[in-house]
Amino acid sequence: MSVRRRGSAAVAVAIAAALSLAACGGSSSNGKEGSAAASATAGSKDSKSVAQGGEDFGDAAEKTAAMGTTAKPGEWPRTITHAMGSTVLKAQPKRVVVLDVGELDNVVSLGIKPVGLAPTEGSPELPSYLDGKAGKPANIGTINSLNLEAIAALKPDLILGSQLRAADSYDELSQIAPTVFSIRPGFTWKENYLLNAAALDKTAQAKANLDAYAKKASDLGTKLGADKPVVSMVRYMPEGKIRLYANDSFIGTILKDVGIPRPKNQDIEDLAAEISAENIDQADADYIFTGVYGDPKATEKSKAQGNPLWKNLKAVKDGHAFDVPDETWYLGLGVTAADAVLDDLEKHLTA
Amino acid sequence: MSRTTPTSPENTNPANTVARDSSPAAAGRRVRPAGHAVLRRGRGSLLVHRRAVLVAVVLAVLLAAAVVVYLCVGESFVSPVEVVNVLLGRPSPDQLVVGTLRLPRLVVGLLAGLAFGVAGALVQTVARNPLASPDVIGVTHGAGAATVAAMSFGLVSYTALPYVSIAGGLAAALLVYVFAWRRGLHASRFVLVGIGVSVALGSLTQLFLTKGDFIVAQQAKVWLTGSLNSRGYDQAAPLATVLLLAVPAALWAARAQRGASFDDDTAVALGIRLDRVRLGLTALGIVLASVATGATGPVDFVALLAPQIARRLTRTAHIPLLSSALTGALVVVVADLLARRLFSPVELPVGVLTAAVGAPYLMWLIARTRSRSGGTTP
Amino acid sequence: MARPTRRRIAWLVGCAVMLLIAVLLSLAVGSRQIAPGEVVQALLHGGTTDDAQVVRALRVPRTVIGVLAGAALAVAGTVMQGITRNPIAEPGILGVSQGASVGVVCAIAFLGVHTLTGYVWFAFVGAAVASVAVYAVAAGGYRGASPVKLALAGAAMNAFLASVVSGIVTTDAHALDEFRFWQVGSISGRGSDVIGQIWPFVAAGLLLAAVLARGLDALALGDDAAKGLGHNVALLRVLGAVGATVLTGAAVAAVGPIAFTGLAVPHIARALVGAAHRWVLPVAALLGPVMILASDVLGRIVFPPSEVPVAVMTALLGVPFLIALVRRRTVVAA
Repeated sequence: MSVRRRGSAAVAVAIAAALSLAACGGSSSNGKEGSAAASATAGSKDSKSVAQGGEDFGDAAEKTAAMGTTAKPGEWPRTITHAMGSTVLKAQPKRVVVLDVGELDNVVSLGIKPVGLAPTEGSPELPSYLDGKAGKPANIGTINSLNLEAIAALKPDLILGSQLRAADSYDELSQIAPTVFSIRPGFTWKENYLLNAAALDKTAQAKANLDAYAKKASDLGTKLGADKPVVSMVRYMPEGKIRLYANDSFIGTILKDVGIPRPKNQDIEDLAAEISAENIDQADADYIFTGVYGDPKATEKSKAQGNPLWKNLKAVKDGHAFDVPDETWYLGLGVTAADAVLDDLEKHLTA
Repeated sequence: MSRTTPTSPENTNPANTVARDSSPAAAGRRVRPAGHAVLRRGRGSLLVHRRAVLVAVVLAVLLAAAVVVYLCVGESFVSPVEVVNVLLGRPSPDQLVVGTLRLPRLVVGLLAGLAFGVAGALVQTVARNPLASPDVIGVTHGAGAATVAAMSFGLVSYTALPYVSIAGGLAAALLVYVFAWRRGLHASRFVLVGIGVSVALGSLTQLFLTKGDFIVAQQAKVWLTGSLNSRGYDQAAPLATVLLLAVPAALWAARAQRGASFDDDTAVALGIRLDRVRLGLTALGIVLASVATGATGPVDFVALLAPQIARRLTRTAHIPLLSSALTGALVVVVADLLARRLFSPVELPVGVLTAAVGAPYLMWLIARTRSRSGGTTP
Repeated sequence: MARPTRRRIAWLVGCAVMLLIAVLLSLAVGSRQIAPGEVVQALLHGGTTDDAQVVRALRVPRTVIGVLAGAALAVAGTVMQGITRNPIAEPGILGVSQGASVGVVCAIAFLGVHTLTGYVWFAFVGAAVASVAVYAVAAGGYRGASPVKLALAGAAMNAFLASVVSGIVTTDAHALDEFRFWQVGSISGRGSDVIGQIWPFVAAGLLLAAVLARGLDALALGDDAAKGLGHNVALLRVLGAVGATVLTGAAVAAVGPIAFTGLAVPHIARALVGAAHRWVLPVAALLGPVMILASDVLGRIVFPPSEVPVAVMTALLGVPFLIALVRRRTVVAA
C-alpha cells in the first residue's frame, strides 16, 4: 500500500515538473512566433513597448510633437498626420467623439462639448471637475470595449483617441468618421493637446492655454522659492498594487514644470515604480500626495495607511500627507486638470 | 457550408448522408434502415436520413433569419431591404453600419460558431461522451493562457494573436492527451484530466495578468470572456481558411466517425484502426476549436451545446456534423445579438451569455447521464 | 493497514514542525528584506523599528489568516471526500467555494452588505446552495455521483457562477474593483479584524469534523456497513455537509476562493497516517496551512514586487495531484 502511494506521489512530482516545463516551452515558442510577426507590423509593436514603459517611452513626446497639420488657421480641408497615418478633414468638426478622459479634457478646454465619451472602468461617470463644461456626452461603451455602433449612431465628424488604447478599432473608427490618434495618453499630454487642437483648428487657443499653464507653473515655482520641498506621488491601484509616479507621467511633467524635486526612486524616466505595502516607507518625502484609482475600498489604501510604517513617515508626522482627487492628478491628462493640480499644489505647499 | 447535393458519393454531405458502402449495417445486409431514403445515380448510391436532412434545412433557414435580424438590429434599426442591398454590394445609405460595423463581426461569429459546432461533434464522437467537448478539456483555457501571456509580455502584435492562441490550444490538448494516456484513452480520465489542466491554465492566466501592464491586463480581461467586439475580417481570414481546409477532412471524418462511435470491441471487430481514426478526429476538432478561440476568445460551451442539441433534433445515433455546425453558428449569432442589445450601450462579452446558458445545460446533461462511469447519454 | 501508533505520532509531530517552518517562512519572506533574526526579535520583544512594525502589523495577521483558511479548507476537503466517498471531492473543484464567493458578491452588490460579519452568512448560503446543487446534479441518473460527474458538475457550476460575476462586473463598472478580490483568493491585505471575526466559525467547523471522525470511518466501509455499526448514515452526511459548508464559507469570506488545498492535503494525509479519520483530520489541519503558506510565500517571490494571489499558486501546485489521482485506476472506474 505504502509503496503504491509513494509511487503515485512520484508521478505527481513528475507531472508537476512536466507541467511547468511544458508551460515554459509553450510560452517560449509563442514568443518566437510572435516576435517575427511583431517585426512585420512595426506600428503595433510601438504601442506594445510603450505600454510596457520601455525605451520607446522617450520618443513618444517628440514623435507626437512632429504630428499635426501644416494648414493655416481657417484653412479647410486640412490633412492631419497622426499615430495611425494621415487623415483629411473637410471642414471644422462640430460633432466630436472622445475615447479617453485626456481627449475629453482637451476638447472641453477648447470650448467644445463632445457628443460621445468612453468612460474608464474605474469611474464610469463624467469627471466632476469637467461637469457643466462638457455638456452631456453619450456613453459609447467602455474604453476597452467600445460600442462602435453607438459611435456611428452619433454621426460624429471627428473621433479623438490614442493608439495605445484603441489601435485595434482604428480601421472601423476611421470609416465612421475622420479619426485622429495620438501615440499614448499620459506624459505626452501637451503634444496630444496640440494634435487634437490642430484637428479642431484651435491651435492658437491651445497654445494660449498651455502658455497660461506654463506661466502659472513657473509662478508657483518662484513662490516656493529656491528651497523647494521634495514631493512624492503615491497611487493605490486595484489588486494591491501601489505605484510611485515618476517623471514620465502626467503628474511627473507638472511637478517638473514647477521645478519641484522628486525623491530619487521617483526621479526616473518611467511612468511609475511599483512597491508593496510592506515597503511604503519608500514613499517618504517632504510631502506625499495620494490618489486612489477606482473604488478606494478595493485598493490597499486603508491597509497601507493603517499600517504603522505609514505613521512613521516624515511627511505624515509633519502633517504633509494629503489625499488628492485621482481624476485630476492621475486620470485628468489635460490642461484643465493640470490647472486644477497647480491650484491644489499651491494650496498644500504654501499653506 | 454547401448544401446537400446527393448526386455522387464524392459530394456526400458529412452530417446527414453516408455512402452506403461505408455503413457497416448496409454493407452486410441489403436492408434500408427505418427513416432513411436511398438515392441512386449511376453506380453511386446514398443512404439519407430523412429527418437529419429536414433538421439541417430548418437550421439553415433559422440561421439565415438570425443573420438578417442580426444585421437589422442594433443602436439603429436598418430595414431588411437595405441589409439585402448591402449584402449584394449595391449602394446603400446603411453601408457603414451594416457593411463595416455589423457584417465583419457577424462573419467572425458565424465562422467561429460553425467551427465550434464541428469541433464539438468530432471530439464528442471520439470520446463517446458528450461532456468531452473542447471547452471542457482545456483547449480554450490553453488558448487563453497563451494569448494573455503574449499580450501581457508584449510579445506579439494584435494580428498575430490568433496564431498564439492556436498554438496554446493545441499545446493544452496535447498535455491533456499525454496525461490521460494510460494503456489507452479512457473517456472519463480524459475529461477529468482536462478539467484539471483547465484549472491549472486558468491559474497561469491569472499569473500573467498579475505580471502584465495594467492597461494590457484590462484589455486581456475583455478578450478572456470571449468577445466579438472589434473582431473583423483580420480574425475571420485564418478561421475561414482552416474551415475550408477542414471540409475534406470532415468528409473523411463523417465516414470514420460511424466506426469511432461504436464500442471499442465492435469497432475493432469491424476492422477500423481505431486509435489512428480517433487521433485524427480529435486533432481536427482541437485545431478547429483552437482557431475559433483565437478569433473570438473563449466562447465557452458552444462546442458542448451544439452537437447535443443537433443530435436531439435529428434523433440519430451518431452526432450529425452539418447540423452541429449550423447549431453552433446559430447559438453564437443569437447570443451575440443579445449580448449587444441587453445592456446597451454597454456590451456584454458573448462568452458570458453562452456560459450562462451552457453551464446549466451541462449540468442537466450530467444529471441525466445513464451509463456507468459517466459515459454516454441515451 | 494497521500502522504503529508511534509512527503516526511521529508524522503528526513532523507535520507540526513543517507548519512551524511554514509560519516562520511566511513571517520572514516578503517584498521587504528582513533578516530572520530581526523577525524573531520583533516577535519576541516587539519594537518600533519599521521592520518590526512590518512583521507584527502586516505579516502576522496574514500568516494567521493563512493558517485558519488552510486548516478550514483541508478539513472541509477531508470531510467532503469522506461523506461522498469520492476521492476528488473538494470545495474548489465542486464549485462550493465559488458559490460562497457569489453569495458574498450578491450581498455586496444587491444588499449593500460590506462587513465581513454581515456577508459571512451569505457565504454560507452560497456554499450550501452550490454544494447541494452540484451533488444533486451529479447524483442524478444511473449509479449516482461518480468522480467524473461530480467534477463535471463542479466545473459547470464554476463556469456558470463565473459568468454571473462577469455579467455583474461588466454592467456595473463601480463593482469591478471590489469584486476582483472574490474572483481570485488572496490572503494579502486582510487585517487582524478578519481573524477575530472568522475564528469562531472555523473552530466550530473543526470541532464538528472532529466529532464526526468515527462516523466518517464507518462511512468509508459503505452505507450498509455504517448502518450495521449503528450509525445514522443520513444524519452523518447532513452534519458532515454542514461542517464542510461552514468551513468553506468561513474560509472564502476571509480569503476568497482558493482551490485544491482541500483536494491535495487529505490525500497526502492519508498517505502518511492511513485512512482513519481521527489521524487524517489533525494531520490535514496541520498540512492545509502548510500548503497555503508555502503557496503564498512562493507567490510573494516569483514576480517581486507584485504578489501573485495565493489561489493561483495553490492551483498550480494542486493540479498535478488531481492528475496523479485520476491516473489511478480506482478513480475512473468508480
